[in-house]
Amino acid sequence: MRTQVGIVGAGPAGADARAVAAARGNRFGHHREPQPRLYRAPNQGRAPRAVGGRSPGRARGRRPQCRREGMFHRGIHLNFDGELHHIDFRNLICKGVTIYGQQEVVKDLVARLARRRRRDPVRGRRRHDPRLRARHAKIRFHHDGAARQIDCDFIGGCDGFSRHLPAELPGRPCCRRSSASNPFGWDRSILAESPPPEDELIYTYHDRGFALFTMRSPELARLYLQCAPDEDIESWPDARIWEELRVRLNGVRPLAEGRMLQKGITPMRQLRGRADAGRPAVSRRRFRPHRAADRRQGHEPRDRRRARSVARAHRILSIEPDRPARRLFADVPGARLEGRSASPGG
Amino acid sequence: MTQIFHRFPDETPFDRRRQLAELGYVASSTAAATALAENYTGLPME
Repeated sequence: MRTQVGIVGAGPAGADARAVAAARGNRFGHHREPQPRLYRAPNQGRAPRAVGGRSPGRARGRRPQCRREGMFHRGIHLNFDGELHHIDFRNLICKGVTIYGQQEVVKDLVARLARRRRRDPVRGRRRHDPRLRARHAKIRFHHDGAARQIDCDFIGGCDGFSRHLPAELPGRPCCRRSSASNPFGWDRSILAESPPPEDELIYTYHDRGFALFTMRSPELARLYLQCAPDEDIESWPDARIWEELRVRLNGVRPLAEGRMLQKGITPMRQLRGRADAGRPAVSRRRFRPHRAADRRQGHEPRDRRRARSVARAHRILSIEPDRPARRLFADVPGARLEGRSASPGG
Repeated sequence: MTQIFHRFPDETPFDRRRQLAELGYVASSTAAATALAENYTGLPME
């Protein structure tokens, strides 16, 4: 399979990168149609993050469903020193936060791209330069039990923390990983059938550790408690979790109890350094096919030569064969984006 | 946010105080709150 931009990861970042790639390719009228392929490595057992607000909040087209179902927040609450402090983003920068399921964000982005493609005037104008082929990046993976390969000019590393991609890739200067995990790093996450204590999120500073009170809907609270990495969720019965939540909330709001639908321990991960986590790590320059003339070393500035030697080292991206196929499947016609059951084995 | 709110295994009392000071700063200063708002809602892509 041959494509211009190969994107690894089909969360919001991957889907967003795909939309950006398509939009830019069209706008700049490249002679190669970007045909980004999308793969999904589902978060290991993690529920869609409720705070999906950053992507849909951005003015990347109108999403009626997001407007209808999203929960719009002006800002957030900080809970420390025994009281709530409201930070009103709307007042400060005229932006807010939308609570909208991560899966829905992805579905909307994919649907939007499908709409664009139908009216895409440059569709089908593809020319490949066979001389360049051998030097292109490759994505190797297994799908439906068969080994596959995609040759591409660019790889978009949108796999978050799944670590399919090397820590640093050529063309992703925006995203250098200096640290991928925090030592303290595990939060107990709870989904409960109870109204959240406040209309907007509450971030809590407490001597017993961090707590976050967020929500999926006005009836479904999503709650996080910082805990030790080696802690066992089984040793925490519901009553103890509610008690701990109440202690950390520190009396600033009443906490309604309800049935716990889901409990789990989530590793807290972040990229230190630049705050690029969750963003597509595709080069922000326009997608420009390499030109043979650029390759003649004598005519290249030294930094670009260096970049290319790094590029060669990473030119082949191999998805480990021991990753089961169900964790990584192609966005080919018929494959489902949001499920984990698209390909049963292999 | 993680740096301000979480407890760390190797933290000192000074670190805890610094976290609190940072929270107080965000809550009391329009400039600090604006920086948080911009980072939280997403910096521009371009």
